[in-house]
Order: sequence, then C-alpha cells, then structure tokens
Amino acid sequence: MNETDQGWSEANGTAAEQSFSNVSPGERLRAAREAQGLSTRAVATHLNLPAASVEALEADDFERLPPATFVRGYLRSYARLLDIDADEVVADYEALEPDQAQKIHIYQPLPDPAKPQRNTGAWVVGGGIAVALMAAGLAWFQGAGESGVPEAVEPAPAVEEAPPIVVERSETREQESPGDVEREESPASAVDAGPEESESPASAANAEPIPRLEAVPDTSAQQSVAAPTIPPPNDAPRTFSSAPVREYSPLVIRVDDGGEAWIEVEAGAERLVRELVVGPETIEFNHAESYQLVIGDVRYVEVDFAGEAVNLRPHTRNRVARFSVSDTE
Amino acid sequence: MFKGIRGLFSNDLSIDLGTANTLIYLRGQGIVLSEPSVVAIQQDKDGGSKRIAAVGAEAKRMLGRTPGTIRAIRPLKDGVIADFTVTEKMLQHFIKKVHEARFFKPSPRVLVCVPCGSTQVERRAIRESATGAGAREVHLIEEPMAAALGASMPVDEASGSMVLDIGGGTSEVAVLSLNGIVYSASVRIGGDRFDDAIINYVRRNYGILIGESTAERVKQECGTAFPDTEVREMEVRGRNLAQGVPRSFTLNSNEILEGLQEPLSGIVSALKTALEQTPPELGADVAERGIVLTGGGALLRNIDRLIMEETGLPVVVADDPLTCVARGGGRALELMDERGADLFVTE
Repeated sequence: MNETDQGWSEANGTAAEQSFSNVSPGERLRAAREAQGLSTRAVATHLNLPAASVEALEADDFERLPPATFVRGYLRSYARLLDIDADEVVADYEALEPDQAQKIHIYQPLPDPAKPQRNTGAWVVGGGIAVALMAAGLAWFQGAGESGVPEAVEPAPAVEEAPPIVVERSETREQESPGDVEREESPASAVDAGPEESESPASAANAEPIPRLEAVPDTSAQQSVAAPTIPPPNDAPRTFSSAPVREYSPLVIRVDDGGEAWIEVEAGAERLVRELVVGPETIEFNHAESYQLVIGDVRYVEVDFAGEAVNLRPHTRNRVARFSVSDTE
Repeated sequence: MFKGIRGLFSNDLSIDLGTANTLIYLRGQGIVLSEPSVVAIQQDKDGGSKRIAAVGAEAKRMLGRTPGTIRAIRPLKDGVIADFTVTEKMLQHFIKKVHEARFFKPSPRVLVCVPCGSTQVERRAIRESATGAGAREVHLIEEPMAAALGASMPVDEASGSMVLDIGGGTSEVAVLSLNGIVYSASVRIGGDRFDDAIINYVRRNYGILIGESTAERVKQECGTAFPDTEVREMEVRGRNLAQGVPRSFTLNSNEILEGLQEPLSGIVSALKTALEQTPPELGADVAERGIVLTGGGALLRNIDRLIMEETGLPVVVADDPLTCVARGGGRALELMDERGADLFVTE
C-alpha cells in the first residue's frame, strides 16, 4: 500500500534534482522554483499556504511553521509541485532538524508472525521455579538414593546424609561393614536380607536390588538359610531387636491391608527403617528406649508402644505424623 | 483474579479494529501485527460444529474462493461489529499471536479504537468482545483522536487541528483541541466503498463482473482521486456477464477516477460540513495549518490534491497513514499513564 511515495519518486526522475546534494531543503526548493520561473506567491496559491509559510520553508525557518507533521507534508507537496524527489527533501529536513524527525518509528511490515520480545518477568519467575524444582529434586534424589526408595506416597522430608546404618542382630554382632558398601557388593543378598523379613508386595515389586537397611555380612550363617526364595508367611512380623541387654518396651507399627505408608524410624543416631511399607505388614522394634518416627499417610498405620496404642492425631499434619516415643518415663 | 496475575506478564496493546485491517501496537515495541480483518469458518458437513479455519491474511486469500464448507467472512462492517462471536475469536487469535510463546495466557490492558459515530450498543459490543478475547482492562478511544495522536498533531494545544481518517468502512473527520474533540462526524464511506464503486463501474461500462480482491488491487495499483499527468494502466480479469466466461481487459487510472467520484464526493461533503460546523477560531487555525489525512484511504493517489482543490486548504498526508490510529492508541496509553485514565477515554 505504501506506493504513493514511490509513485511520486518514480515520476520525478529528472536530471535537475541530481545536481542538488548536501543542500538544505529550503535552498533546494528555492533553486527548483527559480529554475521553473515560479514566484513564492504562485507556489503559495498552488499549495493553499500563506506566502509567509512558503518563504519560511525556503529559508529553513521552521520556527515560524507549525509542528513537524505539517512541515513534512508541506515539503512533500512543494517538492511534488516542482517535480523533485519529495522523499529526499523530507530526508534532508530530518537531517537538518533531527529533533523533529519522526520519533515514532515507521510501520515495519512483519514478514513472519509478530515476535515481540519475551517478557522477562515471566522468564525470571519461570526460571526461578524451574531452579527451585531442580534443587528440590536433587535433594530428594540424594536422600532417596540412600534409602533406595525413589518414590513415596507422601513427600517425606529430605534428610541429611545418614550415618552408616547398622542394625544389630542377635546372631550377627559384626559392625565392620557399613551398609552402603555391603549393598553394592552383594545386592542379591540384600534383597532377602533376613529370614524374618516378610515378602511384602513392595519388596517383591522392587526386583532390582532394594537395599534393606540391615547390613548383613555374607558370612552370616543365616544368609544361606534365607537365600531360598520361599517367602515367609505374610503375617509374620518383621522384627528389629537387639541383644537382650535389658528389656525395652516394644514398638509395633502396623500397616493395614491395602494401604501404603512411608515409615521412618530412628533410634538415636541409628536409622532403623526408612522405606515405603505396603500393607498388610507389621514391624516390631524392641532394642532401644526411644524412637523418632515419621509416618507418612497415617490413615493406614497404627502404632503401639509399650503395649499401648499411640494416638497419632496430635502429631499429624497433612497426614504425616512426626513424633518420638520413649520408655524412660 | 488470575487475570491480574497474568496481566503482569502481558503488555499494553492498542488495537485498531478496522473493517479492512486490524493493527496491533504493542507498547514499547511498535506495530507488531497488521492483518486483514477476515476470518474463515469451517462448518462440518452435516451442519455440525463450526471451527475457525484461518484468520487474517490467510483467510483473506480465501475470500470469494471458498468451497461450500468454508465461509470467509469479515466480522466488521462499517467500522462496527457485525458478527460478535467471530470478532471475539479473531481478537483472541490476534492477541495470542502477539503474545506468542508466552508462559502465561495473555491478559493485556487493551485500548480499542472505535468510530466516533458508533452507538453505545456498538461500543459495548466492541468492549465485550475485547474482554471475551482475554483483555483484563478495556479502554475505548475515538478513532480521530487516536489518528491525530498517531500523526503527532498538537492536540494538547489550545488550537484547532483537523484530521480526516479514511478507513476501510468509515471516514471520520474531527476537529480537536485541548485533548478533546470539538466536532466530529463519521460517514460510512471508506476503502470498501471505493472497491464497490470500482466493481460497479466495471460492470456498468464493460459488462464484466470483478471480485472484491481484484477491485482492491485495481484501486491500489492505478486508483487516483485527482487527474494526474501520468495515466496508469492495468490488466484485469473478470467474468463477462453476457457470455458468462472470464475475460481480460485493461483499465486505466482515468476510468477509476470516474468510478470513484461518488464515494469521494461523499467524503468531501462530510469534510465541508465539518468545516462549516467548526467554531471560527478553530476554523482559522485549521485554515492556517491544514488538514491531516490518515488511514489507508489516504494512500489513494492524489487524494490530498483533491481535498486541497475542494476545500482550498493545505492538506498533509501523515507519515505512514495506515498505522496512525494504532500508533496513536499506543501514545494514548502512555498519556493515560502519565495523566490519568480518563484523559481520552469514551464510554
């Protein structure tokens, strides 16, 4: 559509205009006018402008003229009347009065769909969220890598690097090998870690080496007994017991049938369980005097300590209970 | 509530919702979209659901060339909404397009230009279709005011400025002073009427029917509003009404000039009425400075010469007249931020 201007310039390929260069628009117009033998009054009549305005145009005295929009229009009309290139005259004017050059940039036809600059705000916020998610994921992954349980129903709180986990058994008192090393060396044995351990659906589903928390040395006599894949009766409770140095109050955690719960049990600095337990399952502990527990999804879990049911409700927030039990009192 | 949040990630837009073209000015960036106001709607065979097949330039290419299942329509007529739902869809498409690749669904503050002759019902339709298209805040501004701002006219001075905006559907003439409209009038004559006039001229004189797109091309390539020293010619194809077969023939600019006489005289008479109605002080200012032409119609060759001869006043074609209204809307948004939202806004 922008052909009007081109139409003007095409029509005006006269040789005369070539001789004028680096001249002010006014001088150029006056020279062209004088070359054609026109008076300022005649030009003013043609352009419907006051003669004073034409004189001001020729004198480059733009102070006496209306704002730049009008001046550009007058220059175009004048140039067209004299058959000289209007675009060049206007360009000269804008060079002479850079302040008056059109501040709003001219229509830039968009060849392909408009692509405005990205709104930086959205990207900063989006980037921030992404970084936060990555950081949270990393922290979770590190925590999960230790326990070997990558998914949990309830988001369990990320924990710090735990010390090597050693759960003492009555038969195997050795503590020389930390759990991590043991897991890597004999993953197969770690799957069926103990004879008492029930083959719960969770552990069956996790075909890959799911390190149990108990570090059992290969030399364990029990290992060979446990190796056959005959699952122990499902209702047999898992027990975590220490040598009966003295009688501790038993802690029993029951996960109902059809339920899944994230169970974390620590006794002092020692972590006993940190895994997703699929019901029905019963876990018993009786080798420490106090335990710290984190139970995700309390709906499926009952806890008995020292023979009494523990009321989880006061410790529960968002279905996650965090509390500790102790039999010192 | 989410509109407010999404608004943080959207820019202010000024939309020139024109009969022929829709232009969007993105604040701080300039004109980012200039597309024909055409929507192609596809309807399933058994009269089932309708869906948008194309919008903008792609849809315009379909105008008059569609099969039975697709309808290419122009949802605006005479500067106002003729099909509310389709206009809303079109706006939605355009707003999304200028916010491409955004994380959030855009919810910009939008300023839409309305013809000064539009009724309250028509304005409300425009406002609601912009809201329906996702705008969080909609302001309306009268087209001549936006056009004058876009042409950098000194509208805030205590002196009269006259602007004639020749759009696709309407032509608006207004006298402005101190950021307000002193007189305004709108005639439903614009680029579309020029096209129709060309079609009618060709049918009467050649017995040949040409399409709208052809007529528009003829207008752009060899249309003129005032006799010129140079005569342009153009070869055109159309359907011969008597024989019913396509024929090719040549049109020249003098013939087009003759065909355009009727709509042009309508615009000139509206302009003369405006000059008659203008208070004398302001009329004197206009006479001294001249009339500024904006809108796509100002690109018609020699239209400034015609108006100059008819009115005896200086006439100036604004730079880049096609985008004046959209740019002026953007400027109005800035001024509204500086001086308060009710500076130009009309209800």
